[in-house]
Amino acid sequence: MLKKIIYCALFSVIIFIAVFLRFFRLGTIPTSLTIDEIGNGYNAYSIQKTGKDEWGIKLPPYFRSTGDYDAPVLIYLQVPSVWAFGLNEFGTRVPSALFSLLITPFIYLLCRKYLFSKKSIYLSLAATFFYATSQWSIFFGRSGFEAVIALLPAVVNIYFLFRGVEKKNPVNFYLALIFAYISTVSYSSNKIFVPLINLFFIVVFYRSILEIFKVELKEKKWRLIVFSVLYSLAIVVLAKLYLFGPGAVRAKMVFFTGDFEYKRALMEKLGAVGQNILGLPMLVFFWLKRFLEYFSLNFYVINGLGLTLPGQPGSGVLNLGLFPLYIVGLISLFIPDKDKIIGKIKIFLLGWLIIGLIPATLANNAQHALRTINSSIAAILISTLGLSIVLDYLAKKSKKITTIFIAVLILFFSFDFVRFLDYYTIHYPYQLSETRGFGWKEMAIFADKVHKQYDNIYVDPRFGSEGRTNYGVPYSYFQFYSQYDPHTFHVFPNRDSFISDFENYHFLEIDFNQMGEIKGNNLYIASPWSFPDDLKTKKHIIYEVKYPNGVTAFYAITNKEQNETNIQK
Amino acid sequence: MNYLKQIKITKEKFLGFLLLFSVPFIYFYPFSLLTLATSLFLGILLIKLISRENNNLYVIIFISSLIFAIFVSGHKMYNNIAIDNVTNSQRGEHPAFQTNMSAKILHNKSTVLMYYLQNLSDRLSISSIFASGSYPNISKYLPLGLLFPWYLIGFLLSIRQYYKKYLNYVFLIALSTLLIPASIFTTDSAQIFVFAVIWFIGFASVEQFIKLPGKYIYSIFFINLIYLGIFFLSYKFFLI
Repeated sequence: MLKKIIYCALFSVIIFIAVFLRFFRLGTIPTSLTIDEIGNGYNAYSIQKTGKDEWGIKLPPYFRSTGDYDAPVLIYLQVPSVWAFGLNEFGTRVPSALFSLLITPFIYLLCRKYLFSKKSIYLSLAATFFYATSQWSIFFGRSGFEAVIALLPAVVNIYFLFRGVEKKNPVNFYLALIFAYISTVSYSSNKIFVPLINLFFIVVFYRSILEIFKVELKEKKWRLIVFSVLYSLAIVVLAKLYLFGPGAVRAKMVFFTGDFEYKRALMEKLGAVGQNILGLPMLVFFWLKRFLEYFSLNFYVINGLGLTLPGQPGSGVLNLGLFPLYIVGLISLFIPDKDKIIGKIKIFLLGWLIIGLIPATLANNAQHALRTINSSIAAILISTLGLSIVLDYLAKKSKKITTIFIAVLILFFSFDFVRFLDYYTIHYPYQLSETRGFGWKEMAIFADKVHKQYDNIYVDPRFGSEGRTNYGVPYSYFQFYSQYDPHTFHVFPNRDSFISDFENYHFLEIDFNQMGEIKGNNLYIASPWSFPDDLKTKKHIIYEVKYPNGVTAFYAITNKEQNETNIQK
Repeated sequence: MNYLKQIKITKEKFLGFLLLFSVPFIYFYPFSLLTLATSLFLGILLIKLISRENNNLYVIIFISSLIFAIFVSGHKMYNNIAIDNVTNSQRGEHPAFQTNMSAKILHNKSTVLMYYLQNLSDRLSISSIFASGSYPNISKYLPLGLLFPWYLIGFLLSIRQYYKKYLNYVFLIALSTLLIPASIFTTDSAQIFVFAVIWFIGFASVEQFIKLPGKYIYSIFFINLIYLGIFFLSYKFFLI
């Protein structure tokens, strides 16, 4: 009884830690909403108010948004949270933080009941703790990312697969397939990951599954037929909408043959003749390179999360203390086990890790932590397996060494966790706030206050502290922070022509050097390098937004001369 | 000479020799003969240490060779102005303890440690060894490994078969002592130690391949040649 209380207390503490790390100051950390978060939040707001998305389409199966046709699940989940908490950072981020949190008990269940069922309960609690404090999960869980939304049903899918094999009950497999479907609809990468991981599970446990369905076919044939028919219909819809329809746009946009390195640094250098002869082998070797990059120290420990500028050390996706355990666990997956079930579990974990990486390796950009988030759970479980192996090994040696090992592990774990918090809360906003669209919020709030004083407000979507490095979609920020009535926006006359202007706001590239001088009662919002020096004076600047590192992000400039007191910073 | 006569060149040994000395880095990476010889010797010693537990003679030879390797490597530490700038600027991003002594010690040292780990990752990650890393005088985007990609399978098979030997603490300490200079020295100085590890992986992998029937070994050698051919053909396009 006392032991049970201790286990429950430990589990509760872990859940509390998971809640704290995902919800504490959710509205302000990380700094500013990204363009995806803003777009999703406003679409959720639009659905809540009008039942239509920002383009005026009623309850769409996918969201056209800024042209990349977002998956629908996250946005529909944001509808109640935006309704409850308002159209703000917190309301927008609640679903992904909540889903990231809800994965925690499933990690425990998966470990305790199936993966480490023969081991001490503390090992399952350790795995749950590793997930609760996982920087991979915290970083993405605290931002409104579709990948996190898709991860929960994927984990539940896998849990029900194991449960199905254990209970020999086909209903668990039906439930598993329903969660698999939800996960597939929720995020592009999961269109590859989920079918493959389910197929892989079937291959690994085919004998058990075959027996279960032989019985099902004899005893409850009708149930199997009804489910198969309904599921097949659902798959047809899925294929039509998300695999071949507009929902596939995003996948086409990011396919790895369009990768900058592949196109520019490889194919273009080979030339037309070289491409004909060497194009295919280069494609294969380039993919392999991309795949193997996910097994580097750089990804796991040094800068996998991309919290600092390229080339600078930051924080990896896995805790430094866990990394050696991950290596031990990973190696152990290749070593045969006498216990057949453990052997199958090991094969499944290896498959989970590799299949989780595949979607990211087929897309552009190297070492993309978000696209590989399905592997994050496998990495944590493999690290726990490594811990189990090391503890078993040390237990045979001496208790003293085991104690020293645990102390060293705690020390390294704590050290790297503090490092992660440091990089996440201090260096990340300082160095990379502009990549999160920092500054647009401040400008949007300011413009909302003053826009009626001007005939027109012109906003240049190009931004970047070091020049025209980024092209944003600022209209979403201006709508979001002014809580602009979606219905008015739907019926705006130029909307069908892909023009996002509304009220007296105009979003277009501005070249002040060609304009010579600014005329009329207008307000201009742009990055500092957009304006000639003679305009960047106190007389003309009425509002300035600075990045956390002190560099000016945007100016709001007018040709009206301002008094000192009107200048706001 | 009598000793040399005792060495029997079997078919397997000859094929193993072909597989080992066809690896890409020998042909594509610029290095001196001394670097090649020293790293090869250190790689052989690692194999000896893994196969003969607590062999004092090999330990002494390994330590002597390591000292020699450090001496001939130039032993230039990877601590340039870029690291100093980054460590200082990152510490300076903290509003509260920019000049705090403990912050200087903790923050700076952890950043430098990460830099060294980054070096290790760049030089000896699986991707560098098997799928990239054959620069510096060619584009780093060319997917050309130091070893052939399929040697990873051989290495994994070796771990699978000899995992208990890989846990031999003498071997692990020896490997770690190679990894330290491989991470803290400049690229030129670190070459010997990086290649020693590469040779070791090559040996471990080839040892698995030569257990296969002859036709498979020939096939691997043939595929090796095709791989080399592909990159020899594309090599000139990517020269820096």
